[in-house]
Amino acid sequence: MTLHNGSFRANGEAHLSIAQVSKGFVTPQEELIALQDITLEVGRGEFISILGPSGCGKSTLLRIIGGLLEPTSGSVAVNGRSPREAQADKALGFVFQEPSLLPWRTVVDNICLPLEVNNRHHRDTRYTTEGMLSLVGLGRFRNYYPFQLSGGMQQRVALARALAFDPALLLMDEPFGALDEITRATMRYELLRIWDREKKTVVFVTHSIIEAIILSDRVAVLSSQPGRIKTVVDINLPRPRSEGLERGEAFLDYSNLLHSLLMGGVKNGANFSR
Amino acid sequence: MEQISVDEIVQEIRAAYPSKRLALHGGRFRILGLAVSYVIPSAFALVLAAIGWQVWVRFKDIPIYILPAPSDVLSRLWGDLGFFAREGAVTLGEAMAGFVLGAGVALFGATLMAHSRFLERSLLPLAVLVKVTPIVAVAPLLVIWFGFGVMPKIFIAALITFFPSLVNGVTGFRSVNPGALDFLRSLRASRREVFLLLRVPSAMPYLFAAFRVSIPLSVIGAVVGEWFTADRGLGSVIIVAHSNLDMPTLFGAIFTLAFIGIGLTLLVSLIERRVLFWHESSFMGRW
Repeated sequence: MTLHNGSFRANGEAHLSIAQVSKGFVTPQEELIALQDITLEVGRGEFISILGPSGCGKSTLLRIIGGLLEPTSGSVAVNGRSPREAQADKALGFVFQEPSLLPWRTVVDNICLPLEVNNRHHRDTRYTTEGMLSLVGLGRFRNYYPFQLSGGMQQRVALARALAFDPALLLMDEPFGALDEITRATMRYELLRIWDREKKTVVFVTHSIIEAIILSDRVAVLSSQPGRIKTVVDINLPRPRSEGLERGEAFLDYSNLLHSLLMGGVKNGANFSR
Repeated sequence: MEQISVDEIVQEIRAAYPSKRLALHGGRFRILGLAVSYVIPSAFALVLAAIGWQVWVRFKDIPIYILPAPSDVLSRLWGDLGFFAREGAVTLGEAMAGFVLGAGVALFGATLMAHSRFLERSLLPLAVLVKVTPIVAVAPLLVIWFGFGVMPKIFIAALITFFPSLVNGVTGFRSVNPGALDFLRSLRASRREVFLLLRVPSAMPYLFAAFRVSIPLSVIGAVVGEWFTADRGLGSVIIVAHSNLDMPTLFGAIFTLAFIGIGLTLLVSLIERRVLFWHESSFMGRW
């Protein structure tokens, strides 16, 4: 178990590089620094979590990566291109905490939505809607409306919608945050199974330590106010990971480590070995 | 999702959502039940009020040129149904044309204003000016400008229906799910795509709320217009009957207008139920 800053261990080029990104917001009261000097490289096919307390700016960071916000300073490159170019390439798939489906569209029409947008840039893809439906296990519910589905199922539709146009980078903002604990537990392994099959690069924002360990190759721990990367923890747990992982001893070690990092117990950049 | 069976998913839905919602589309009997449970109480109240009116007029021996009994009005209506239907159709036509014109211009304006704060700030005061000016004050002017035909009536109806659609349109076009908007933006959707795919459907609940208000208003506009140039339509029927102290005809026109109002409101509600099946407002029984 090692702590280090920024660089990823996978060989090959970085899929996503974040260089010295800072973001300030001007509020009527003060100028707020949400993110300060964030530098992070994410390898192709890597699953990285951004872990931090509420309000530490992790969602802001994700929105900057996705080109929905401009950083005050610093830069982000997705595949060597700017986030906005990546948007145009349909190289980014967003999943938010709320499913944010269109309530007047059926499951299948919601999944098709990205294919209708910007039609001329829509490339041929092995991804069919039917494939997406069965990937997330909703084949039978293709003609249901979102309000007829449970929260977990709606979030699966949102995941299918984000995957439908085959983006290489999946950006997930606390996607299981609004789900109950039992559904969350299932959805984690569900996501792992899909990630295993689709070989996407995933940036996963969460405030759940359990979630971060189960899912990630690496966990970037953010401190709050201003949001800074405290440290990046490698999660050296074997894959494929399956249910019961969270009861193992190694898991508990990681959990304790991340917990003390979040509480400020471990010094920045310290080495930690088991 | 191979490892989770269909039964488990069904269980999940059942647990999460009551069967009421699942039965949404198959609920023909529910609609019928609603009709019965809403129509019977209101019909009961209506009949009771009519009986009270009838007894009052007969008991107090009120002359027919002051207040006719409901039976007098109904026999006048029944005796000349074609006349009332014809004049009613004229008024209805003017009201609907005015509504389409007013709502159409309003939606066009709302589209511009929803996309530009500058346009909103410059156009909204103008719209408020139109709204706060009493329409009866402008009506004679419109008659001078547009003559004695249907045009001034349509314009008055349009003016009176314009504002609710404009304000609700602007609000509606802006009231979009932020996550859905972010998702579309992350795909570099154009403004036009965001408008058509997200803003228009999101605005529907607001627009229907506006239409519920402005459709009866359009009938008022048409009648007011007819008062100024007594020619055709129920407004002119009222003016003529009034000057002749022909109360049964006057009340016949009023009843016809009330009937038109109920019909239009019911129609809007039915269309709304169809269009807004996905919206929270549709999940409760209501007309």
